[in-house]
Amino acid sequence: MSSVAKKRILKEYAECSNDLPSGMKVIFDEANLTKWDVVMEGPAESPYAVCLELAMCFDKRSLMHQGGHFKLEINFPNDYPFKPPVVNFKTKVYHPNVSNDDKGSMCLGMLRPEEWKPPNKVISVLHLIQNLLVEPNIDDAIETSIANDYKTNRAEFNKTAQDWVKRYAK
Amino acid sequence: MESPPFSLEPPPLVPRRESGAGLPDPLSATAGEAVLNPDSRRNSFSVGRPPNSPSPLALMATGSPPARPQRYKVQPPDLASLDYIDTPAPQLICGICQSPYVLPVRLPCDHYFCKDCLSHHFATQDAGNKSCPMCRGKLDINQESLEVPKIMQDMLDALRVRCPNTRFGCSWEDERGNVRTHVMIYCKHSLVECPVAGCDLYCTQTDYGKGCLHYTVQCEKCQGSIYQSDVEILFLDMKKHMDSDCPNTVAACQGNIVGCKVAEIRKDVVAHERTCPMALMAPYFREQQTRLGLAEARIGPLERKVGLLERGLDSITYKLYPAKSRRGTLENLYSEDTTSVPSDSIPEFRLPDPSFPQWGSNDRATAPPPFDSQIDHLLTLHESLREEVSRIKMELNESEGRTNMLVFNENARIRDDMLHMSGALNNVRAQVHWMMSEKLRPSASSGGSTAAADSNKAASSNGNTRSGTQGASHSMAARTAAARLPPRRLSDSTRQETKL
Ligand SMILES: [Zn+2]
Ligand SMILES: [Zn+2]
Ligand SMILES: [Zn+2]
Ligand SMILES: [Zn+2]
Ligand SMILES: [Zn+2]
Ligand SMILES: [Zn+2]
Repeated sequence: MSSVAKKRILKEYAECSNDLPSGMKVIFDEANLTKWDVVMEGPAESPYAVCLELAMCFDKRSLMHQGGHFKLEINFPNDYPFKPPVVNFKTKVYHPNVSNDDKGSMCLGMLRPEEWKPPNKVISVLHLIQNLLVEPNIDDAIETSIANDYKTNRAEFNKTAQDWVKRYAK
Repeated sequence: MESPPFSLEPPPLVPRRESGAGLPDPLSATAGEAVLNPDSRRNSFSVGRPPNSPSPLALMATGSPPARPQRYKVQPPDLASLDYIDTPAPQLICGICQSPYVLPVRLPCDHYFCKDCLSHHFATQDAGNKSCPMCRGKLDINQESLEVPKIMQDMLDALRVRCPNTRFGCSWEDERGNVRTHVMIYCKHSLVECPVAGCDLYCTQTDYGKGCLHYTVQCEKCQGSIYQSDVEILFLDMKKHMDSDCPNTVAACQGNIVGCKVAEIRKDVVAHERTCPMALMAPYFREQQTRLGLAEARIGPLERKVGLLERGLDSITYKLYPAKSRRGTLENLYSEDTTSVPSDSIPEFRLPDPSFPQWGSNDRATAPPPFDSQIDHLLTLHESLREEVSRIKMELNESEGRTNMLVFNENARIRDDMLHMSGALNNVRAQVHWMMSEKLRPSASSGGSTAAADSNKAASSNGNTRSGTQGASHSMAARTAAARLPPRRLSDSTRQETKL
């Protein structure tokens, strides 16, 4: 790994520890800078948060409303920041933009190699993911069946998403 | 020359160089003649050979390096990794390295990047397909880059930074524009080029005189190798390695504080400790030892305190009973008094001294040492009184018995006397009776009884005389006497009759 990448990752980590989006935690191993473990809470206004009391509760302000805990892994390529970081969901999530396999890979927007720009930062990637949980990007969907569900049968989509949260993202 | 950074003592490691020769050390390919050993603490490492060590004499000839910093080839500061004191304005931050620009380059699209960052970026792109990292605008690599505004360079130079050698102890802080001058000329902590030709690495100025340290040393024990220059910087780590990690240094069993004598190389000791009962007990004993130490540390002050209190007590005693305390210390008092204890088996009872808490009292001297409280004292007093009372009771019993015996004996003697007397009396009566009947026979008169009483008196004084002539004269006298006292004689004779 180049010294440029090392310096840049350390700088970004320092920045992340100062202002991370709410409901996020970065676990960082100094011995292995290239892999970050992130724990992200499902935003309250998304179907990735569940009410602990009622099965189908959508009162987002309730204190019993809790985001599921999603584990993500961010891997930095050796020629970071000239190549984008690779983001994977380690927790299964019912989402049109996350592959429904054991990789849980995401590939959209700025994370695409041809769209990545070196000035982009990890923190903006984390913001992007949080926004995607609230509002999936249907046009860039990787799982078309889930995207269809989302488009045509929103209630069913919400229910399945919450079921998965209860099952995998406690 | 303030402090010579090396010494001229002969290298003590010469025999060990053989073991180092077998090391796969690329830097020691060209064998040097002398090995500098400026520091004896490095004795435990076998040393590989530096590429081209100068002889100590040669180093002496070049003079003392620290005195003339300009002799060094100093490593120039890396501006890209400077530590900024304040957060720089975002307009001055390079999008690639996320740090303030170093040698900024202005692209035709008016985007700025560090010169190095941009060349890194171009290296990742195909030859004919270079683009701006920010806007992806096509770039012609041969095109002249635009001039960077002077104000931007000035703002970058005005950013405040710390000396890059802060971790070696430099506390310099100033504008970024001065950092190069500081590091190259003034900073005492700059890394300098290795003094040995052929080595293109850097070392600290304090290590400059030690020759090239850029060869591996080997821990003699475990064959773990480490850069000599790192040993210098991380010497404490190396010491730690020897003290606690190195599996081949000789270490003692944990149980040595209990008495286990095992001391072998560490990996064997670790195996031994698993089975050694003394090693198992060791933590307990170590704890006990620390507690013992603590207790001993506390005894000292307490002893001083007791001495202080004793002196205070002495002075108080002196004030209260000056006469007695003047006789000497307590010990003397006791020993004097015990020798003067009377040897009588039954000591004479005395009432307790009214001022009982008194220290030098004679009474107390024979008794056990002073009591804690008055109650104790009273209790013992009570006890001794009780003993005294029982002793007196026994004595009373004894004397009563003695008196009884005395009375009994006296009684018996008196009774004997009485018996004797009554016997004598009977005898007299019988005599009188005989005499009376003798007299009554010739006269047979009415005065017989009175004459018998008279003759009775005469018989007792004269003894028993029965001659007839004497009896005649007696009866004559008795007749005259009877004429004088007739009533009394009558009553006397009748009384004697009834008694006997
Ligand atoms: Zn840069
Ligand atoms: Zn541009
Ligand atoms: Zn300095
Ligand atoms: Zn060297
Ligand atoms: Zn070792
Ligand atoms: Zn042992």
